[in-house]
Amino acid sequence: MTNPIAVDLTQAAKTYAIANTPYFLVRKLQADQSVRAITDTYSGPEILDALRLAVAKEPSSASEAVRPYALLTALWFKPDMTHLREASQISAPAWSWFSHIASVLIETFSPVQRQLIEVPAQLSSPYVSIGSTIPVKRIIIAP
Amino acid sequence: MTILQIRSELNLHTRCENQVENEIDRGPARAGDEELCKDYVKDYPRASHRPTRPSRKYNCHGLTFSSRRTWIWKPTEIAKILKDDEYEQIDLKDVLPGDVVVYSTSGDAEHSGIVIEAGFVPMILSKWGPAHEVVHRVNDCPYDSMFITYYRIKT
Repeated sequence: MTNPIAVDLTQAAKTYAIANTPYFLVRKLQADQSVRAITDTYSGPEILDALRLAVAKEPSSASEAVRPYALLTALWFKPDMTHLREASQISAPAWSWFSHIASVLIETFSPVQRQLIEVPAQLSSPYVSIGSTIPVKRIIIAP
Repeated sequence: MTILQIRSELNLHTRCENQVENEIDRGPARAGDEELCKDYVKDYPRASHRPTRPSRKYNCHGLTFSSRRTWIWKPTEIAKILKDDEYEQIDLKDVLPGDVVVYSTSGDAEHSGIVIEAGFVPMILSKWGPAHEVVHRVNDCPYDSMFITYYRIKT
């Protein structure tokens, strides 16, 4: 069955092809635009479903091999960690780093409150920090 | 005849007889691995790409610290090896062939290799993750070379 999340993971696969450690892979995936695209396009439950499907069979290509890690990282960008926690419970024996990466992502999860507001055209949209481990709460004061 | 599992851990001890966590994956290269390696050959034309095929049997740390026998992926294990095996940090000006280099980001050892030629920009023998072995200038590789440390083992 085709994975419902159709995102080009070529760059992620290229990174995975030279990853010596899970930490390196996580750092690179967190900076990968395709991973951000998954977060922005799909809901937590959709990503979770795609993750379950992705680990259901042994990977036969580099893209399939990196997909579960990309989906885990996509969940890390979500504003709450419910689905990331749920994902960490999934059994993925063919992916040696799965549990470890899930733990690292949970440990470094930063609860970010995102608020969508209507702003006049001259104001830029708020920037949400993704690198900090400090809880962030942004208060946006609109005129 | 011994039947080996696809994935297993080798008995790998430091000089202090502490086990080093490792995993050897004897499975074949996946579809697409060779193509990705070819991309890196193109991306790094000045490096010498050795004719070793992609493999998950060992990584850079496995090449540097376990004679190409297995894959070591936990930075804590690299720290354990450096301590137990009495590696001493050395300055760039003192680096000699045979010393090792460790690339770190946020304190995690994400790449390592063996110095094969000294100089202001030493030449390194290493392996790039599951990809092939490469001889490269210390700063001519896909890893962050901002925080690199050279070590020599104490005998």
